[in-house]
Amino acid sequence: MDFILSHILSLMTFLPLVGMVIVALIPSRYPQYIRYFSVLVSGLVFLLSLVMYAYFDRDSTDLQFVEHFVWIRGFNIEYFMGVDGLNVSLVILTALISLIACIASLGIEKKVKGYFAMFLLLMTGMMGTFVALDLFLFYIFWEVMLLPMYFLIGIWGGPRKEYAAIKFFLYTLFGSVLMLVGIIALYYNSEPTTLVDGTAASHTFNIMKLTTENDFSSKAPLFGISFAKLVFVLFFIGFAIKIPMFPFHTWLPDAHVEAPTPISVILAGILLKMGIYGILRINYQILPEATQWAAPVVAVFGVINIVYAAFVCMAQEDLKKLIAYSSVSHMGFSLLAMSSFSEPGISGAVLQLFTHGVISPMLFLIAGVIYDRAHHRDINKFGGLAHIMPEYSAFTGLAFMASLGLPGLAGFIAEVLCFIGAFSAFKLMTVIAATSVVITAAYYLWTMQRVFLGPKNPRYEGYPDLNLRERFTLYPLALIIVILGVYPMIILDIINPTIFRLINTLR
Amino acid sequence: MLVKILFYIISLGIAGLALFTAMSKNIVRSVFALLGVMIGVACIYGILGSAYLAVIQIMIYVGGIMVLFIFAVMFTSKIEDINITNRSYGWIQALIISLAIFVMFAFIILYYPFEKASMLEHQSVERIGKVISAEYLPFLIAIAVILLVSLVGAITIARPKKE
Amino acid sequence: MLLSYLPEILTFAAGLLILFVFSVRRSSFDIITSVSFLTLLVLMVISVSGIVQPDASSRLFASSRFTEFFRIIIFVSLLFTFLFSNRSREISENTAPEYFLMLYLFFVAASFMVMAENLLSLYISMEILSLISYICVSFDFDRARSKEAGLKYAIYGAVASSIMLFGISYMYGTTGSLYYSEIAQKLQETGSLSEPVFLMNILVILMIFGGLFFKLSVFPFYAWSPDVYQGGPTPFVALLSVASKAAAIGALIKVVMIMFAADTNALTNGNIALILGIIAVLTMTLGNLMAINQNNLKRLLAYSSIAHAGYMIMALSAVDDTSVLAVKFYLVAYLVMNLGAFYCVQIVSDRTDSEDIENYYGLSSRNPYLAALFTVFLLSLTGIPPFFGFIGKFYLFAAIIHKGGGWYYALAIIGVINSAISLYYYARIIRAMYLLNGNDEPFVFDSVRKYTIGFLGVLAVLFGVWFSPVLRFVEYFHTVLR
Repeated sequence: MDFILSHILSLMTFLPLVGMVIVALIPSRYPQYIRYFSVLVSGLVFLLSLVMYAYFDRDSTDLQFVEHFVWIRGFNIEYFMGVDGLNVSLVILTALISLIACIASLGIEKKVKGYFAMFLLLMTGMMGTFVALDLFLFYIFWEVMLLPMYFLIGIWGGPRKEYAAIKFFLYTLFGSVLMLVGIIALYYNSEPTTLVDGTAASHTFNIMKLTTENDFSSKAPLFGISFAKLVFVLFFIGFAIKIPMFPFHTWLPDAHVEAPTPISVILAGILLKMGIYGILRINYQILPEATQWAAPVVAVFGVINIVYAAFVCMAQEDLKKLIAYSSVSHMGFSLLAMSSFSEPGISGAVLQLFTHGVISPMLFLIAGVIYDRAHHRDINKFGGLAHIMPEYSAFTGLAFMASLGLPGLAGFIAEVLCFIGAFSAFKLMTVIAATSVVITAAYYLWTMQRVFLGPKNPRYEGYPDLNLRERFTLYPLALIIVILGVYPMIILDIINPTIFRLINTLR
Repeated sequence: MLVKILFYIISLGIAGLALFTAMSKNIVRSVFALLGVMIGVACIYGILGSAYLAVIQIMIYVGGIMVLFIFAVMFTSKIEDINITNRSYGWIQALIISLAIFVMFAFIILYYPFEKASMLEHQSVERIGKVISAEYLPFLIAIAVILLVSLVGAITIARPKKE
Repeated sequence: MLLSYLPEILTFAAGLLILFVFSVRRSSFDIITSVSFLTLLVLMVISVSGIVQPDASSRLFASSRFTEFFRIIIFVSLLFTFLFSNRSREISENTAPEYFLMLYLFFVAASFMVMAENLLSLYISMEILSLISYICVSFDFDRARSKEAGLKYAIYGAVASSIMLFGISYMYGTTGSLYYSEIAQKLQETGSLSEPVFLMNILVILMIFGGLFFKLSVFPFYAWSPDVYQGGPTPFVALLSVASKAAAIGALIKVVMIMFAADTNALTNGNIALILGIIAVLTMTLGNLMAINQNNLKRLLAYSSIAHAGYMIMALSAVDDTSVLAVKFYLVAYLVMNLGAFYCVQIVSDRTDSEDIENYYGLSSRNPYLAALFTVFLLSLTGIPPFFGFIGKFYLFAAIIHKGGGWYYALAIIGVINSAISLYYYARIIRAMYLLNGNDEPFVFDSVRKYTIGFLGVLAVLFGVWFSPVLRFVEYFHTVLR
């Protein structure tokens, strides 16, 4: 147990990689073994994340479960992993959503071996991104995610999969190479320090050391802009593409529409959270002055995200596209709230990551259920499904309500915290953003009406209700949504101490 | 003074012959004009006081390379149809590039603070031979390698196709 | 003193011996290849064994740790070339002895090119290298395309080297010397120059670089490479894209670092960074943009190798110790991934007789092994972690950001955007292999090739996550240039 506790983050990160190698060794004529083995691996990872949650010290603001040693001495690169309030909830979310998506993937029939190998590699990349605290390590995990995602969309996706896959790949790579320049720039402008084993180092990639021992606001300006601001922009573009923030959001609808259901789940549930996490972890901590300089602009973009995407949702006829744009809108809440630098704001932003990370996978699973049966997702062509699939309709209703922020469900608390936080800093903008609540309610209810209410459509007669696999994915998520709606402290307890500390350093 | 006049006359002659080489439609005439250019360059070396270089120029370019050229032209098929042998293309581009290079040379010659080299009193062939076989010996070997490569390459490439 | 050049002398002798022996006694391709391979392996062991000591007594050439590094790079790429030349569709068994002689001489010329300490010795060794390259490119005699490629290469090469020769003669006229170090000294003593003369001088420096830029296929001398790469025999083209570029960049490093690096230099006035930077931007942008629409994979790789030369020049434009180290590190990565990519193309084209992208449709189901390895090499070329190419690019960008200042940041940003663009065309090949469907007949190839590219693939992944050994290797050979 001691071993597990002291290496829990590495285990969670690299267990899927080991799983991938084993999957590659299982002959393809046993697809069933491959499927269940992958579920086993992601189940183990989820179990480990629960262990981590249980042993996480809620009062401490320090890093926990730290693993730290020198990896490549020539470039002062360290293998540095740890969790604090900023990422602990996301690590749990990653483990949870991966398991759900893995169960949802059991229905995949085409090239099963390749699919699960890529899926497990993706898990490693995602987990590593959230726990890595060395910029170099972070970047490697960040990029490792791209390749499996490209294949998962490109091979197992819908009709325009190739276009969607390359668009996703190019957009993200474009952002991340700019980030790479930012990383190297931070490295070469950092003060001399010591590595974990005590040897002296002239520069460092260590995010914690970059935060505490360096002040980048006083570096010589470049192109007439201060160094810190320039680096802020480099990182911010990289993260903004991932969020995705307007005007970099256009890859998301394509990727979501074309991706197979489990991959949409991963995209919405985990990948979108990395942008906000990255901004909080790197921009907020390492470049606080530049963050304050940029905050009003970021808030404006947040509002645009919220309102613009909500209006776009109104016009959608494809159910998946609607959910995709609603994700864009919801990530805007986090953007707006975190630029307020207030305690409820940032707490709300991080909580929003978790709640949206649970709600939107559920929405995509729901879209997947109907697509599996009808082979289309055109909202206007449905109608009266409530009579045919009552259980399914109930879950859809729950997910829609949670997403539009009905009190008592998970989304509500996070949104309220976001608005309270944002209002203290940006009054007008918050009011504008708040109108989106109405629009959101409108498009969800209208969709509800078009798809489930109305007369029975004979075309959909005889569709089976939820099967076992779908229940396995939807029930847990629904349960979490309800519990979080009633008692959000499960998450807030573990994130708040760190966030309060972060705000104190910002002020 | 006389040397100067001679220099300009020969230079003009070289320029004219070079133009003729480039523009003549008759390839045989081109080759002979090129021969004139080579001889003219040798004369310039002579006027500038480098007799050795002049002799080398005549030996290698006039004696060796030009003869190769003439042989190559003679062996080329369809040589009898003179009108199609040697057209010139791309007048405007050529003019622009030539002018640019001319301007550049003129600039360099007019403005650069060249140092005057001290004229060697006795530029004996013996001394040149000694330098080549001592300090520049590697170059001699390198030339041997070049010849080897060319020979092997030429034989291999020219070998008849096996059917 | 001769002992310092033992690898070159022995290689030369061994090449002649191989030609002689196998001309007298005709043998099968396998035997000639094995003998040549083992001989070269022995020579390589000799050259790294410590018998060969650095030498700085000669003034025309000097061997040092720096040149030893390039020796090894050229040796290694030649060894791979031998393996893939064997039974290649493009090289006939009849001419194998001559071909291997050419490759042996290729090493000699390339190695001397890096060792040159004098503009004339640089020029002559470069000419030998060029001559060998022209001949080898036309070695696929039965195809008109190969001969055409050889001729084009020769004509372009003649133009580039005559431009270089003119630059050299100008340099001799202004400084009275051809030795790098003497020229550098002379240039630092010269006072400042008037504006027009200064600009002219920049042009002349570019002329001297011309020959090297031609070998590197860098703007403005890049136009030959797509045709030559497409027409020439693939194993040799792979060598051309790695070893020939390595030799040229080695020579360029010496020329730049010894002759022009000083800020007090009258000719460059510290502007060498700007010149190289602009060249780099043009090269990588043109290479990447033109690669986008290529359907012939050898042409595509030709443009990609132009872009990669651009990245290396970009790092070199920082003109300091770190950047030289970065370029050398990148060369190791480039060797692994570029040879790998070319050999994957060769394996497919030896069977289908074509390099068009249509032949790659559905390769993932016809031969998953080959498709996976090709994907690794392509992603490594793109510079995506965890592959070796990423670490290489990381070093390049680190080298110029390390230098600091607005210009270098701009350069780095242009560089990374270029590397993002390159993903588009590399991913087109991956798409063809994995996302599109072709015919389903299984695709097999011989085991030597299989293990060789497998080995390269393992290196491309292994050194991507654990590059300390490579770093130690490069640093071991990283001393002062002379």
